Amino acid sequence: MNAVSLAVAAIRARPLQSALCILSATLGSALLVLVFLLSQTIASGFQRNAEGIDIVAGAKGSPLQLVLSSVYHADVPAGNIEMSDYLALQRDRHVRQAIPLALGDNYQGWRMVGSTPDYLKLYQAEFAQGQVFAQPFEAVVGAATGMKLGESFAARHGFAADSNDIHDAAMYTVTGVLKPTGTVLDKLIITSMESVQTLHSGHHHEDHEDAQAEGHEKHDDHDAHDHDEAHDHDAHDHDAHDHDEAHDHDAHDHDEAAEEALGHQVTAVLIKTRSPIDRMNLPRQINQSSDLLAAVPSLEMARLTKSLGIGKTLILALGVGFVVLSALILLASLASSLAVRRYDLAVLRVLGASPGKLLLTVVAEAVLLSGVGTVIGLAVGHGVGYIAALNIDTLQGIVLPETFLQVHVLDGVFLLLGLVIGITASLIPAISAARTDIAGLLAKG
Amino acid sequence: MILASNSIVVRRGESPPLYLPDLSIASGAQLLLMGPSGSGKTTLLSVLAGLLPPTEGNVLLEQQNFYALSSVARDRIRGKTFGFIFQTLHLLPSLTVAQNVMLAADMAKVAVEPGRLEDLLAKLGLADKADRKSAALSQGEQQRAAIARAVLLRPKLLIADEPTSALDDANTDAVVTLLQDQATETGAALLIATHDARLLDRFDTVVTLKTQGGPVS
Repeated sequence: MNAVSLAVAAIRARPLQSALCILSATLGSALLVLVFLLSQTIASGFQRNAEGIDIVAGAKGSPLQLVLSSVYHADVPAGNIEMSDYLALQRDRHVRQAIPLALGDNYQGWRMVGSTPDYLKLYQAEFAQGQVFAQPFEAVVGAATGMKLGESFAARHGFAADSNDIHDAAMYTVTGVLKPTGTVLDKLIITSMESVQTLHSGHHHEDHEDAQAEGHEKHDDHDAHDHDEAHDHDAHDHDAHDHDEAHDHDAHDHDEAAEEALGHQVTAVLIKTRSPIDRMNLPRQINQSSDLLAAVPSLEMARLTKSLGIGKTLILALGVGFVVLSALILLASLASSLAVRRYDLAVLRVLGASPGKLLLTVVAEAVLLSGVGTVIGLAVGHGVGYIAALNIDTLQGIVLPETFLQVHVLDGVFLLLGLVIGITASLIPAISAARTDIAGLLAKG
Repeated sequence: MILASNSIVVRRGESPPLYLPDLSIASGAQLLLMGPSGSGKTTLLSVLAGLLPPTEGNVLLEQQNFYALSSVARDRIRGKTFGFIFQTLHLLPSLTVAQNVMLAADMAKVAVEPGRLEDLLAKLGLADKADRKSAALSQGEQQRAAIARAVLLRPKLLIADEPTSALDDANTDAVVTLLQDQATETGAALLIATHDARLLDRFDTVVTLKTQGGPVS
């Protein structure tokens, strides 16, 4: 029976109180570690996704929307820009690398990105199978899409899986499957810009009148509206210009014109500048001298994170509240248990235990309770984070679920913090236990 | 002489000073400390055991001034030299009988020889209760467990504070016999503090405390 086993016996003698102490420590530490882990992995996910992208150029609109849509693929783009604008950017002497993105189609909700192989290199993507797209209508798929090498599919227009606008004039073939990168690339289907442009210009060409005729009513919900009747394209029922009416345009008005425009336009350009000075000056230069909008991902995300920070602070305050509460519960529990056990402690003294040993016994009890509570809390925090990263769509591609399963330096910090708080809460009861007036207690019987 | 006290006076707070009788206990002696409640029996025991430094006077433990030692040293010596039995037993309810008995060795940081615990429990009729929580024991069994804990380390001095106050005649007799036998068997001196007059004829040496803490004549 050393101090620790005495403490264990004391804890087991009061299962309800002990469970309460552990539970409150669990709640506090779980909340704290979850919030810290989430905000840290999100911040590093933001950074990882924007690595190598100094500036994003796109159509005029909201800078945040431009960054979200073209870097994180989390929003819809505001519009497109001319190829000539892209080519001009590519020639700019301040630009080291300009990667074009043509967005606007999806397959089963996975966004299709028309770009160049440089886009894959940006994320240091490696192939699990196959190779990069070479011919038109070859595509490389991200790890999360679950698509197979050699699989053939037709793109749908828009960003939602339930779009009825199917581009099946040309079928894509999967020529490469990427390894997981922990970036948004995992959720994308990447093809050459030419593929996207060909698909849309074909559409544009063949379906020109159609588009005009339909232009004014495209948002009406005319379900039964059948274009194949109005236009005599009997030969192929569902081809590139098959416009079924439940034309599911995202909130974001990707209208016919824009859709066709992809034939000769790009959606955004990811830019790496030649020098840090260029990174500071080029956005202003682009914004002032052209119809383009230039945004700096790191600045936009910093601004976004800052406005989200209020929520984080609130949850953190809640976590700190729980930690304080758990310290108080621990203090109350130890104090009340010592009131009952004063004679036990006196007996230990009579049997030869020093006051220091009594102090140690009480502190050990607090350390065990807060330590067990904190460790469970850390595990719960990691687990909840992992489940959230797996199941919350917004977090996918930004947060790697596996990072939540790894031991983080924060765990050590929180465990230490939990133990320090436990020890602090136990000090007063422990000192009073050590100072117990044995003779007085014994005299009372 | 194993233990002796000289001119002990204890002043605690507002209460009048307590003048306690001089005691001298020879090795293996058996001694009764008689006095009514409040006469200072437990206070004297605390002083003798090194738990309460007296305001005046001194305690000699094996010819050495006990209170010249540090309190931690006194704690250690107390654990090895004294065996205590309290009026209300004070087994730790969260521990088993065996753990309670072994506390004497654990707190004094002394190893006991193999088989000592088992022999002792068997001798006191507790062999089959060793792994039971002490709270589940009958009053008589708890008393025997407390005695086992007190004699585990074969102390030089066995001290019992009101061991019989809650017992009927038959049990009183049994407990006193048990204490005397155990003291004899382990070679310990026995000091019983009590107000229980039934014990008077069991002891040859009786020291009496008076109600008010005046010096004992």
